[in-house]
Amino acid sequence: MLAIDRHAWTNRWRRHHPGERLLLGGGGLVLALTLPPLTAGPLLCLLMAGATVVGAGIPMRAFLGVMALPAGFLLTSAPFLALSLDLRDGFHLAYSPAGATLALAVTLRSLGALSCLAFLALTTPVAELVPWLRRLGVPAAVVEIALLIYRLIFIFMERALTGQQAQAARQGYSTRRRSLRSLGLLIATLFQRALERARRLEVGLAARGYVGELRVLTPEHPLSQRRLAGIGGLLLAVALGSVLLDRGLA
Amino acid sequence: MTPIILSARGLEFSYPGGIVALSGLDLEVARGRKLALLGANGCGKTTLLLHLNGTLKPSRGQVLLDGAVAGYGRQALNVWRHKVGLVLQEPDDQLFSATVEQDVSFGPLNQGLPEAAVRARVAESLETLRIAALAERPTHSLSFGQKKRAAIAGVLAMRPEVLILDEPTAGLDPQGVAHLLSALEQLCLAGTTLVFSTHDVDLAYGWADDVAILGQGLVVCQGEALATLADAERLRAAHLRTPTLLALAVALGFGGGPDDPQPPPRTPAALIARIQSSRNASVKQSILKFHPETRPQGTYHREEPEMTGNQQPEHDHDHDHVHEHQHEHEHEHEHPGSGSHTHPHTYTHVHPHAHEDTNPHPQEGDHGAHDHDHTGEHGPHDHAH
Repeated sequence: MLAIDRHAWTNRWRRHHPGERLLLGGGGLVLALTLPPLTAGPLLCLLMAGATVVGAGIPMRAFLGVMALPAGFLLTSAPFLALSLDLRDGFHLAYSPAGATLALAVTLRSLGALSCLAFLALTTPVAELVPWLRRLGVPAAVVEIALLIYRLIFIFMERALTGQQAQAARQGYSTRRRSLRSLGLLIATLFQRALERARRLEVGLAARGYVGELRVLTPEHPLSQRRLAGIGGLLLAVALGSVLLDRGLA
Repeated sequence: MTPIILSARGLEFSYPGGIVALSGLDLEVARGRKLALLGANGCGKTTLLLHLNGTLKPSRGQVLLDGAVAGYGRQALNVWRHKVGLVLQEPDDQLFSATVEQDVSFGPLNQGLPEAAVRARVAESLETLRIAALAERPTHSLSFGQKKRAAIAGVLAMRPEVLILDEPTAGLDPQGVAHLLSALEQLCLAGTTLVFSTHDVDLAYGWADDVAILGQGLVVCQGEALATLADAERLRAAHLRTPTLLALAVALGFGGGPDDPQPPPRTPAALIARIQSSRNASVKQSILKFHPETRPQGTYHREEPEMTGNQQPEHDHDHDHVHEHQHEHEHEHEHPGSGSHTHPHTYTHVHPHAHEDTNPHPQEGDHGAHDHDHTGEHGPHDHAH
């Protein structure tokens, strides 16, 4: 979570218009869901890894790290997709080539879609994506709350971490029983602190003329026609490539 | 007499549960000056500050803005907060936006300024606090000192006439304090009235023009910093102590008084200068006999205290003037011993950062005049400052 956020704020494409990255990530996602998965999946993974590492200058390790957890779930469950349960006479597990193809298709499609999300998460801070929700018609209040939560998550995590360290320093986690008790106390304290903080935040905002709307300037990043065209071209190439390769395989 | 921009009359306030925080408090904030609210922990400093910008409403008493009773309606509060900016002690309580730039833009946007003007204000206040480089950084990645300055920039961007800061130096390292004070000094010179709460008597002594001592929900006394902080008994009663520099100055005989028209030094540099000049006094006395040319400076010396006295009412940062005089004073004493000419230069190096900052344009005129004095007597000198 924190590593993702750090890369999102510091990568090479940070100053580009977030719409460009949204087009690449979102467009890739649409392709992953619509094109033949056997070819589009791997191609998209390659494209997104390339864009993240070569384009935005984020280390490959970070990209693989983000992919690892969901991919792990995906790969452990894939074999079971190839099996089918036969209950007609007794309990039978059946394997069929059709099932295997289906399992492979689902896995590759998911991996392709995942890579698009990993690219977006690593290159674009949540705080820059959320304002787009407003343009898509999400009410201002919801967007403001989302942004506040984004900001408060970090304060809250810091508090939770230091609280936990302070408890551990006083042997609060020495046995399983004590751990449970300490954790409960920590959660109760954090809840109370969060309420106090919310009240103080209100005072701070009111001092700056808050009247119910959290309006801030959005950063000005010019939308580059050239980069947009490049992204469009890449997506088109992936689309054409996957369709042609898929024909070739069939 | 400087006009009173903000004042409190008979403020009473209790928190739920019957904890009395203010019990008939009176306070006056003079326009364009730096007022320190000194008090021990839990004496009602923060509660008072929250009254001064209308966040809390007193159960009795009133707050006056430019002599008019302040109201608590929506419109009145808007005007109030436009005029009086409040910076909370904990910057995380104030920074809510993803990036520094965005957060600072919040206040000016609420004032209804057009976007271009807001951008200009944001750039300006980030510049004043020297955090322009942090503009696009996410707020959660900043250090405490950086957060603190970002929080102040957010209030500054609204261009308040009075800037109220709750414990502005708490938790900052010495350099952080120096940077912050120099930025605030700049604001004060530009005409902003500063009110800050602190329990740091040394900070109040070295930096504030006026001091109000709080105890048990009351302003025990309020007045010019030097006079207020000289009362050791009263300070002790308020769980405070005499400022270190003042105690030292008094012990060394620089505490002011009828015999010594010079006020006690307000900065470490000024104290050092006085110690050095008095240490050299005896040496100089004997040298003076052999250097008759230096006598006109002796005349200047005798006039000096009067000058300081005359300048005081016109200048808010009179201790700087005192300091300048110290500086000249020292040169003057060094000159007769022509061999020890390096001394003033060493002294310039010792010059603490904070002070260099707070006084970005040391009176060039003073130095010029001073050089003249000497060139007349000693021929061309190389004053490589």
